Amino acid sequence: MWGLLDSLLQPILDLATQLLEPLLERLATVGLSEPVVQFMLMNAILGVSIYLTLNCGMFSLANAGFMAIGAYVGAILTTQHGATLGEALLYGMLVAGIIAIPVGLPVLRLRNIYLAIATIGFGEIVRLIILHFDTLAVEFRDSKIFGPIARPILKLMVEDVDARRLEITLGARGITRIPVYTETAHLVVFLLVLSYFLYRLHHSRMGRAMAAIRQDERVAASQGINVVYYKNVAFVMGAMLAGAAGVFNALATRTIEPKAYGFDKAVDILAYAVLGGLGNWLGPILGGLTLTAIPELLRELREYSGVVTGVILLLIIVYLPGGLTSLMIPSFWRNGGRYEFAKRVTTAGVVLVGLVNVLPYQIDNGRILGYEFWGLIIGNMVIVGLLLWVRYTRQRQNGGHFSLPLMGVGITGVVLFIALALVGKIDHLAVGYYVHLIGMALVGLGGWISYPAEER
Amino acid sequence: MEILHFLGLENANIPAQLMNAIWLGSLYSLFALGYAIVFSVLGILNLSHSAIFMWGAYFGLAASCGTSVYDGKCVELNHALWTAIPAAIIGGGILAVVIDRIAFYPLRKRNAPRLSQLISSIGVAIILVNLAQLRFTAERKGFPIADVPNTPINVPNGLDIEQPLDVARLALALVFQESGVSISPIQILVIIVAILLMVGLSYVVARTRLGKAMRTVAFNARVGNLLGINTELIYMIAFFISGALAGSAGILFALARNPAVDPFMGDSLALKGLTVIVLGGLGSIRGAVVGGFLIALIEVYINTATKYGYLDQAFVFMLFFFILLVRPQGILGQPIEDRA
Amino acid sequence: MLAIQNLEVRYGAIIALRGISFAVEQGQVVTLIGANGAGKSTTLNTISGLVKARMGSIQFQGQAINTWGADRIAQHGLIQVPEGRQIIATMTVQENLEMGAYPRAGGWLGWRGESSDNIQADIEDVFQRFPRLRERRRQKAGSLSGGEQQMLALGRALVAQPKLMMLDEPSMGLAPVLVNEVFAIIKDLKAEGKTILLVEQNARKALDVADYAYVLERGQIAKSAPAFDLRDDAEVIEAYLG
Ligand SMILES: Nc1ncnc2c1ncn2[C@@H]1O[C@H](COP(=O)(O)OP(=O)(O)O)[C@@H](O)[C@H]1O
Ligand SMILES: [Mg+2]
Repeated sequence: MWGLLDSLLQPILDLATQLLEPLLERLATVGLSEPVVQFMLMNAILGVSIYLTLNCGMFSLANAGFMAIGAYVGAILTTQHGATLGEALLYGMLVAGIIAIPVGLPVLRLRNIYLAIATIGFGEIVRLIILHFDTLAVEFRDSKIFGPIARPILKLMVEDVDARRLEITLGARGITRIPVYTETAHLVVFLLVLSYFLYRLHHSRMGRAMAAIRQDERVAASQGINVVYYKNVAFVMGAMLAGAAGVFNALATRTIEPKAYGFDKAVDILAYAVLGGLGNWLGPILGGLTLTAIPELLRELREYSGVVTGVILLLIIVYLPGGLTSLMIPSFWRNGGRYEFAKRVTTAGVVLVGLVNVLPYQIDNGRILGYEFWGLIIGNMVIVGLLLWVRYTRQRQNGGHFSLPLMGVGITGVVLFIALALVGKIDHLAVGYYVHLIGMALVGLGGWISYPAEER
Repeated sequence: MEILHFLGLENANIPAQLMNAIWLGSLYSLFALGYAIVFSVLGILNLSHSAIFMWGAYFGLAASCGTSVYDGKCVELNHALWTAIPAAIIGGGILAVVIDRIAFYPLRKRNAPRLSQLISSIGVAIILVNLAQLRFTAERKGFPIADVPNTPINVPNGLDIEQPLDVARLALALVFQESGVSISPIQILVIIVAILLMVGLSYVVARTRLGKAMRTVAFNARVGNLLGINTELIYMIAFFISGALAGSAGILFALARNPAVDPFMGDSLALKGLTVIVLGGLGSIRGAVVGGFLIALIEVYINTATKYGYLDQAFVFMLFFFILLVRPQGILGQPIEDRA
Repeated sequence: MLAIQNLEVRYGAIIALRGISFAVEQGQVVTLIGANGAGKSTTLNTISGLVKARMGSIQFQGQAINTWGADRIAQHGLIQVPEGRQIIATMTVQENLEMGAYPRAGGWLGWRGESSDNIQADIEDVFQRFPRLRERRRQKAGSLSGGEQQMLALGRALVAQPKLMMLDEPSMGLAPVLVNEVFAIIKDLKAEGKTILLVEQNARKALDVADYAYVLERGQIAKSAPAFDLRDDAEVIEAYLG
């Protein structure tokens, strides 16, 4: 069967590789090398994996755990049994999915914050078990009760089950020398198939049932939708996708360690979905791609990629709760939404500029900012702008009348800043400079968006 | 003795381990109380609480060591050691209020779903940890070893009986040595500060007008508003108290485990604190205290009486997971509706 | 005392009030009657500052209060007894009444507040008025019956020494006997010279106690007249009195 599948898939993969080549070259010139592109694609898959549960109204942070399971299954199969990528993928997804069933059944009875923290707990347990797996394996093998069960399972993982010490996950050091099988074409094809599947899902009965559950679980149940069933299906599908991403990840990086799949990873996955938006399935894909690319594109930001993730998470959830994709929905731009959005864009800009002025301004003696004196002047201008904005919004609630001052402040800020860089008043163009520029641009943009359409 | 054998405690120094559990428990309770206050008044699970804990330790460190901690180690104290404690308390409190204004206030104003607040608090946590890393590097820092009295109290040589302080020390040392407990002055400080703060807090919440206003707002913010309560002010106070508790826990931890200050010192406590309040019942003040001591007891037990010490974290999370599934309202909490 | 001009309120795209105007004079009982969803609660919540108006003005004792926060409005003696009572179930009866006097006591710090003796005296007055509450003063308010909870809500408002009381459907969900009791209390309050804005669906009873009445229909004032006249108004009888 593998042969058949292989002969079917190989031409497609070859074609994809050929088509991708020029694109990859192009991307490499802007700083997105092939490994980066692979990470972008993996993260897009992870974004979808959390989207599947969120789309069903379940806030689950378990996906980093399932990713870890996939990664370790993949790594063990390839290093110990010489498995191929296809086999590793199949078993990785299967194991993740099978573990998801007994976890999901009880956990999905919880809702909201309770579900979120229970899944955080699950992720930690998985990480700790992997970390101590070798010691635990010996304990179980030698125990009278569990030995007979543990042995055959362990046999799948190591050749010599009776060795004094077992070396399976290798603790904090992690598994090394994993063969590199993942190719960009694999990921692209996987993501395309996934997209098609998601597209079909949306228009299927199951998709509608899941949307109904997200809207209101009780109403959905009263309409005869089997809530428990669909929730669990979504959870298992999400786990399998996360497992797949884990396998790809393990077979792309040579080395894996439990640390990489902890709470931080769970949060990153959440950030992909939040950034992209949960309105439709494109959102998490977009989010995964963008958030991975941003630190690579802005080289100065790479050092601050943690801060960037946090700031993006915060800004998006506070100022653009629908994520990036909500900007693509036409109704958003009709009056009410536009005005609200303008306010938020402006506030986001002010917050960014303000933060740069107040916080990292002092960090590492201007390494973030690259300027000292001018920043304060402009920061103060922004505060004036903010005051104007507040004042005008209070008086006139229909927009238009605070657009002009904001555009003024924003444009002045951007122009002044570029001019300052040109005349060499800023020693070096550090991160803070860009953040400041973006902030000022956002202030101006907010003014522009809120300007009444008929006068534009 | 049968029981002790069964529990694997026949060789353990029980008073000493109990003491261990008590001081660790007071730290956990202190930390979890802050979580619980914000949850009960605002319904927010503030996952940046552990980052405030960590920043509190840095605030304290910077207050008594001066700016030298920015780039390197703290070699000598600029100010007395005790200044670290109020600095951490006030710094943590202010930080929490700032976080509220930036990350939660806009969401509250727009009536965003509760999970948005969870997400933005995660965002804040990431930012704070990374900022600390940028500002102070990932290196572990601490107070100068000689300045922190964290060696166990024992009967010292050359005590001057004329000195009242030395007499007290002698008395304490004798008591502890007789019972086999080894405890350091800092650990005693942790226990005392924790108990003072906990008692003070329960007094405030139960008896004062502020506490009643907080309970009213916790019950229903609109009603509080209609009664003439400035809800935003109450939120601000709740956040300040919460941050102050986190900060105090941070600096006490830093003192007791000196050197212990690094950007990740809050990570393990973040989830442990969550376990504590889940165990005690989310939002229950009493529960947070009881839960803190319980978790500490369990940890100390696993570490001393079983050979699975390396799994203590895993046990705590299993317990956490189990309680969420079986009794999500916690051991002291009221039943909740967030369960199908 | 209270003058509302051209008030418009929206919830997103839903227009709840479409420019209503009315006034309440000192010592009057004015009633606002209307069907479910007419916008009565929205009106009270806008006056109280819980909901912000999109247009229009609200004047209380000559001051524009549109931009004030709800707490500040309450501190100035405009007290609402909200729909469904909303007593604080987790606190005792005594504590609930104390919370009513929160602004008088000077807020959380007790700054320039009245002495607690004064407040306790007013609480005693409430117990005088509602003896059943006195028996249950140490009980949790959540354990009271519906009628007792309404008494507590009224008592809590009275302890605040309101200049104007706004009652949102005080008879809602009560047994007929208790409904009569509630209206008897309102009559007493009127006799004592209190100024009251009463929102009701029970038009017959409301018109019995009120001096002046406004009929609210889908966010607009459909009719306004002295309460006495409306009692005989054919349309009102048909629509609300049946
Ligand atoms: N929070 C809200 N969000 C959206 N619509 C609301 C809200 N509150 C009330 N409404 C709508 O406003 C209208 C008036 O409601 P309300 O003032 O409660 O009426 P009443 O008190 O007269 O029954 C109704 O159509 C109701 O659906
Ligand atoms: Mg109503």
